[in-house]
Amino acid sequence: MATGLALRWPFVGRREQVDLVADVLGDRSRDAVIVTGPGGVGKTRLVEECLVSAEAGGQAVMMVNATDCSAAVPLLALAALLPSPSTMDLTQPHALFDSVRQAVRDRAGSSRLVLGIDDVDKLDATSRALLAFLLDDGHLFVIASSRQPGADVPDALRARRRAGRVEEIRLGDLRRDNVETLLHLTLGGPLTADAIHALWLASQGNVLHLRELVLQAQADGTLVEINGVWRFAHAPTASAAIVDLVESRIRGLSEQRRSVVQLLALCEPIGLDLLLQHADYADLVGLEAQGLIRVQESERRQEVTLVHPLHAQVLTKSLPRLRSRSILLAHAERIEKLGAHRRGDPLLIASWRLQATGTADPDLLLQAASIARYSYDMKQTRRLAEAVLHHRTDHRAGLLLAEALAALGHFEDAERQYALHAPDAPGRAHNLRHALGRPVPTADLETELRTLIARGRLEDAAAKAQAAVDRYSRSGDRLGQPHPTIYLVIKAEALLDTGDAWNAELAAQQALSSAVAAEAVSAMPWCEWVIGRIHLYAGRVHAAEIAMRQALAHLEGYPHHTLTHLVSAGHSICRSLRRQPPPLTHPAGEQEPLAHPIVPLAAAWQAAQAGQITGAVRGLHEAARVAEADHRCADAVALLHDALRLGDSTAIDPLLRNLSDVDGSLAAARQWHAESLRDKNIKGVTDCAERFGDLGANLIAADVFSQAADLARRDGSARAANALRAKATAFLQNCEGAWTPTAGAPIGPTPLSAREREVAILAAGGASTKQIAEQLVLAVRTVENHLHNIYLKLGITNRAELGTAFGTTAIERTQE
Amino acid sequence: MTPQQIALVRSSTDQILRESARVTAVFYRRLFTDSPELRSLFPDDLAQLQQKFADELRFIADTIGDFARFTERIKTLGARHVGYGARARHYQLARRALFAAFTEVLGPQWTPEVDGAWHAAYDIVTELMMLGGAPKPPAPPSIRSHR
Repeated sequence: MATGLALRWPFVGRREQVDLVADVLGDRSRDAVIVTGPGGVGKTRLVEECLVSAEAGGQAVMMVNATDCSAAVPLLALAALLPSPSTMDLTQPHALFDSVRQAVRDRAGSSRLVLGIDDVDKLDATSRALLAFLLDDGHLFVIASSRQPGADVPDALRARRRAGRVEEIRLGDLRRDNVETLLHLTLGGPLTADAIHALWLASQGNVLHLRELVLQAQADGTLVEINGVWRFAHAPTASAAIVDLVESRIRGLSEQRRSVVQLLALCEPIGLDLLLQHADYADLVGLEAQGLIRVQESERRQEVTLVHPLHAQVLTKSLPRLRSRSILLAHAERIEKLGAHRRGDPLLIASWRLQATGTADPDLLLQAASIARYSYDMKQTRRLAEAVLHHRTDHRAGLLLAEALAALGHFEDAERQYALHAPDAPGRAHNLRHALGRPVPTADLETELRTLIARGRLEDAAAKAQAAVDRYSRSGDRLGQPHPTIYLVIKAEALLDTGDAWNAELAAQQALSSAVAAEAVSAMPWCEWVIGRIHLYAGRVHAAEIAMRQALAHLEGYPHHTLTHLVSAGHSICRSLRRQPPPLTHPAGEQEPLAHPIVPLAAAWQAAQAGQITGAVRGLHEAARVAEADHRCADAVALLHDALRLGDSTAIDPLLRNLSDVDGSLAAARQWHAESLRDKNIKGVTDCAERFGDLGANLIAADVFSQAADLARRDGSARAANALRAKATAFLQNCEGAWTPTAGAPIGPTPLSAREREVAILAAGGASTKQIAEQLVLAVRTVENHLHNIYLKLGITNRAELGTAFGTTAIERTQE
Repeated sequence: MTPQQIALVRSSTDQILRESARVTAVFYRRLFTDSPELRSLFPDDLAQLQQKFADELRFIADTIGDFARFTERIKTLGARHVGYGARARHYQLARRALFAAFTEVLGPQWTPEVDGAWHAAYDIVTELMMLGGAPKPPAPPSIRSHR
């Protein structure tokens, strides 16, 4: 054993983990194992050993590596799974995904294909999408390594880990006794105690470090075998950091050998035959004997790689920019001369050229950009499309770039590209109208769906939105189609307006997970918006406010015109209902990009909560008239029904008129509500309050119970009134501190009139008599009269008690 | 292992073998008390295992200085154990029972130095057994063998 360096190290101290992986692999309810740990602890080796064990058990196995280099081009890391270049059509990503799925099924047989993925956290987004697609199909088992537990593990694995379908193995450094055993087995004999100690101290159980130390010490004659015992001939360079060790080993190489390792660092793996055209046989043998390079069998070909990624890292760092550029270009040319016939070759060449020059063959780049677009990897799409446009004017690349820019929130830049390359793309209309708030003549699907909702064709809108989502997932070429998140959000809004909060919530959650999975940053605030609306509907005003605030925070980076408008209004309603001062920024003054009832509703609730109920109702009627004239009957209904909740009986007629064209259970309940109030039918109002409760609209239920209580009291049945009032309070208490003038105002034996309620709210909020008179445009004397009547009806004597009765002693309110 | 540990393993083997009947009895008792699930991996009659145990111990002591012979024999032993259903964690359970038996039977003769030396030997033996039991990866290709 004294001759030659210790190159092949036995696999020591990790056998229990291999057993564990075998158990997980045998369990069909588990999909993957992730091995995490710092560099050099032997993650890759563990994955390899697990594959060997799986293969011995009769399973098909395959190993791929994700690297920084492969991350530059979509799908490069998984190239081994792709069909051969002659049959692969990168312009048809949908068909490509399908054919990979079929290939995996074929290889898996009745079992599962075991795929080892080294450094899975470096996988590009498209490869991640393909991985998710294959895992969903159930014929794949993944054994992945990842640098750190917190690293960027693909969502497909992260979600499965949460569902308990993934085993996580955290690999640490070897223990000292493992190190002793490993040294003994590797060197084939005992070591002196001080040699063991020195190697342990320097490596701290990091296998790669230990290996570098031993190889270095053997090579420079420090570690020698005398009479069957390994010992240090003189003091070892034991304190050297691992990077220094690698650097010093590479510094000692001849010029020819160094150029081989440099080429490998940039372009590995390289076929042995090809490498032999570039390097001397003797040099390769020498490098192998020095433990710097190794050969692997891959698809009937022998490939040469550096022994560890750390070597590549150290090498590329020390390479001058121009030198690495010429190495990459020369190698790309060599592969091209050979015909670039291997799997992934076209992608590899594009990747090398991109790294070398920032650009590459525009046709290849365009294909790569299309693949990235297909999996919604918009950062990559942008980079690749820009590289194409750097070469030539290309409208397809321009459209790809426009879409990527819009998705990344650069709406103005996106419009410039749209105008230049795809003036008629549906995405352009969407970007102009909704993101930038400018008028466009052409129609787009989102506007069509929103119009359907506004006109009360809610079920139709929900079905059409779902159809758009389905179309997207079936579609082979997704270019020009907005991400389906937006349609799921619209579907959720339509369902919510029918009163189906449950399914609205499902659609919203689906929207959110699709946005998260695609890292669709600009779609994220849409999801938060609709989730906020669902909370608001259910009376969870605090949760709603948090969701709206999150959406606003997301929007800060890329001010989307329509959405900022809507979310600001939603946020304002939440604040009003919680009797908090309105948010500081108002969307007021801008051209309204989209007619949505939430904007006038926000203004009305702000006024109503400040005691200006008459003003609020007036505003709602005005907005409803505009909506009705525009055939937006569902919008008019939303506005008029809130007026009705505020006690305005003049809303009944227009409300019933507009309701006739609106779908859904919520509309039916609203109709019942209006008719029962019109007929002063106490039982009708009570029953429909229950109905609102059944529909999950807690805050509306609270208001309607209050109105039933008022009716009962006017009818002289005080006991029934109290019982209904208690119900209203119970519903209100489920609303996270929400308060409305109808459900929240105290009542005495005689209900307050609408005007008295306004004065009472203002006075309870701390306004002086004079301020109330100014705000409501009344004489001071009239306000005093109202206050007098209020005290009488409520049985109280002063303003402090009034504040207590309204629960507003601590109101912080900023009057504008 | 250090040369001193190898010497300690050799010099202590006779002591252990003098008490081998008791050591094996305590070992199996401990093992099956602590890990009853392992009982089924062993034959009903443990008497013949006592002799085997003594033989293996003697072999280890004799050959531990001759690495090539030692390695080959232990790997074969490991390959056999896969057939018995032995898994990595079983080696840890057996270690606990075995060293408890050494301590109990040999008392003050079982010094910390002897204990450390045998632990190091046990590590090497079990890793070699597991290497012997693992499926053989295809021999790594090498550039040298290319021509």
